[in-house]
Amino acid sequence: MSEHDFRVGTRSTDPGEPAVRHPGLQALVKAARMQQPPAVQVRAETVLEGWQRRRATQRRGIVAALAMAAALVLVVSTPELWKDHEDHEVRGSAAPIDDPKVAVSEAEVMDTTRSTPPGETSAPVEPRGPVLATTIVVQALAANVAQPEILGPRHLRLPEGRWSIDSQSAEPVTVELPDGPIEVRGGALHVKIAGHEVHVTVLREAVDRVDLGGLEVASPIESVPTESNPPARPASQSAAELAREAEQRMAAGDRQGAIRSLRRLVTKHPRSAAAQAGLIDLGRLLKAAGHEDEARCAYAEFLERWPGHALTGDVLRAKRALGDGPACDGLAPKSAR
Amino acid sequence: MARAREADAIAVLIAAQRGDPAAQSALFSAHRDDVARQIQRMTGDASIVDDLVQEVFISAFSALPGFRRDARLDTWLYRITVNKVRNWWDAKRRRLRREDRVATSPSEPVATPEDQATTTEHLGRLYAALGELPDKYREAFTARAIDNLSLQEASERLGVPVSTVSYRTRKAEERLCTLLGLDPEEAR
Repeated sequence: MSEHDFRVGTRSTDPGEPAVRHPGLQALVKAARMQQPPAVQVRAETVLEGWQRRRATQRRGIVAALAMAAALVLVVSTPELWKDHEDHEVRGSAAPIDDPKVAVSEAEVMDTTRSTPPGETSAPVEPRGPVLATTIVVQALAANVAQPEILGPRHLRLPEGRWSIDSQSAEPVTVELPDGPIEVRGGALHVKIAGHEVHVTVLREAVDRVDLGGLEVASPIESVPTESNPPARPASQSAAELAREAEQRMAAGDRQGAIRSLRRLVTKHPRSAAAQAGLIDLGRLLKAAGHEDEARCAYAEFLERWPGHALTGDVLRAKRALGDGPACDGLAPKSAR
Repeated sequence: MARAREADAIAVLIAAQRGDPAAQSALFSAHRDDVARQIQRMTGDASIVDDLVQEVFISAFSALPGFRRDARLDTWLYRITVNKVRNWWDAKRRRLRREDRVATSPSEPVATPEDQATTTEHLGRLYAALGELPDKYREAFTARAIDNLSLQEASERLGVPVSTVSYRTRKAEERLCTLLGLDPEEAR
């Protein structure tokens, strides 16, 4: 019987039916119900500050979108400009982008689907297909052959060529590439596609390959220093920034770099929430790199810092799987004398 | 008296919708602990409660001007919480997929004789298995079994019919039994 069958009422539901019937499962659920209420540290001021920051970011996105829309209106309402572009026939989503500075945004997708001839500016411009969210800017970095295909507000497919993608939103944007999709979360990247070969350069923040089975990355993803991603990290990086940096390096297959970031994270922010996942990640990466004693110390450190954590059992098993070894001094194994 | 309190609450809500920081702080203080408790029950991880509470309320304040006052604020916040927790589980699953998984077998016992250790082990096993469920099944099960909501309450909070909550909870229990190595026949 499917969920739909239940919705249309082919079986009556007993309003007093128990939520859990299995006695073994009831014991586990009882433990979950009896969890101590969390000691919440976050304050109203912090939340309001975070909200103000998000609102400012959203406003900047709206202003940028309005500016692009205004520029577009200017172009549409200037017939001379259209004469120069007569060979760029408007063909829905297959229209070419020859001008590297042209951004694919909500405003432009609306324009590429326009049914009125250039110059007739009085006719309303209606969107027909999916529209890319205004917080995402896609630019052609060269005279590319085809235009990106917009599959949804946060979903697009890139054809052959060189592209720049910049997402100001933390919501994931899925970019279909010839060798599989990637996810961009508030990040910026350059993509070069030639046939089936793809080269992705991460300029800023989080970019993740979807369904990545291991650390291998099918197409090279590299991180390059930019103004917003300087090579020399300041000492005051927050726990979240270090965690993001480690994730980015893991996604790029840079295991040693990820280990360095995680070490900084768990050392500089030892009591942060990010340090918990960080220590487990560190243990896994060290183990994968063949540094089993150091991996054991990372797990031991986790167990010492958070003895009652929900993942204690898992971490214990991981540590035991590494067998016995030298005692640890923090994250480092004491050298055998 | 109750009516006066209700009028106060509505006045605070209206002021918060207009962006009054004092009213937003009052709303936060009134609902913070409930949201935190829900997050802990949904994730089993006390360490991420602060971060998710913050995310829930930032999203709530962003969407507050569009909140229709004929709905219940706690139900509305519950749904935001469910969405944030869903994102958290997604991120956690992605991270675990990317790495070698630490857990070798969720049902493998750990020799920890203390009561506290047993409880911790129970929680670890349950939440590891919950993480394997589809979002909708996990959310229904958490609402019904762990939050201890009635079918009607869970239906309102999750925004799906009672029969759907019942179906999803049942399916969740079946899958959990399988994942935890429990005999599903004992649940019938």
